[in-house]
Amino acid sequence: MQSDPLSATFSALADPTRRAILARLSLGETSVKELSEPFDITPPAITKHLKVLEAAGLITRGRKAQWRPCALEAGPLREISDWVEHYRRHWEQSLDRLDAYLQDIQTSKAGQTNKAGQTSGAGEDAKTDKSST
Amino acid sequence: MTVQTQTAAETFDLTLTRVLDAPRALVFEMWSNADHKSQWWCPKAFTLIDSAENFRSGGDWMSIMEAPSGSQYRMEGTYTEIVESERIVFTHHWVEDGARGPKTLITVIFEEEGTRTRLTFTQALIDNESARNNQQNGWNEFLDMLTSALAERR
Repeated sequence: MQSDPLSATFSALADPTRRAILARLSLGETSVKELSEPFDITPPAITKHLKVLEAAGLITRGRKAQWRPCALEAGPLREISDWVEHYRRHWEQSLDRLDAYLQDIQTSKAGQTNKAGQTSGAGEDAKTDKSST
Repeated sequence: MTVQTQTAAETFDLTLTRVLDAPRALVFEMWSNADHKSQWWCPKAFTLIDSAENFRSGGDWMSIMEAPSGSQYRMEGTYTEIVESERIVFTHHWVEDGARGPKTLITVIFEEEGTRTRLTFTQALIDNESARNNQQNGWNEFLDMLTSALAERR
């Protein structure tokens, strides 16, 4: 279920051959013939991959039938890069909060055990025995 | 005692590691106890405005957070594996304006390091058949290529 362009981009990038094609294209415009050279697969198979990349907006292909140079389109790739970065920042911040919260909890726990016989906020007489398991 | 990190070998994975100054069981509780989790689960400037937790294998979870701008973001998923004080594995995706974002798998590993805990967090993409079947080989190199290619295109 591809409900967003990002999923379509990831789908196109899921194949290592396609990633290698993009890597080659990042060096500059290239013909289909040149692209197929490093791979042990037929030019029609390369063309199949190119169609997937083109459909995802990752490359553009020239019009001249024989030459048909392929060029990398930065837009979708930038989206992926941004997406990964966005996620990294999100989790880094959440883990920062986890770290700080852990320190708060342990500090206040230590504070509680220092007040002998008293519990914070509890209405009952029950002893708090938070033994660690 | 180290626990082998098992990451899903998919396209894209993000790995973060923290060494937290707390015992492992307590760190795990920060994830397993919904009240504790709500205290740190979203990024700094955000507010968690709603959440539901079914902390068991096969259980669903959901969080809605509000950005400083007032925009709301929903994330949700399912716990797939829980090993007490050791490992939590769950799926995660965003829902924004009714559209579902790419599905990812998050693995959190808890390892003792003396009195501290090493937490290893990994997020991998699992949204499509080809992603699941393909090897991860070359993904990190690909990301490096991406960064330099984009840098040249300012």
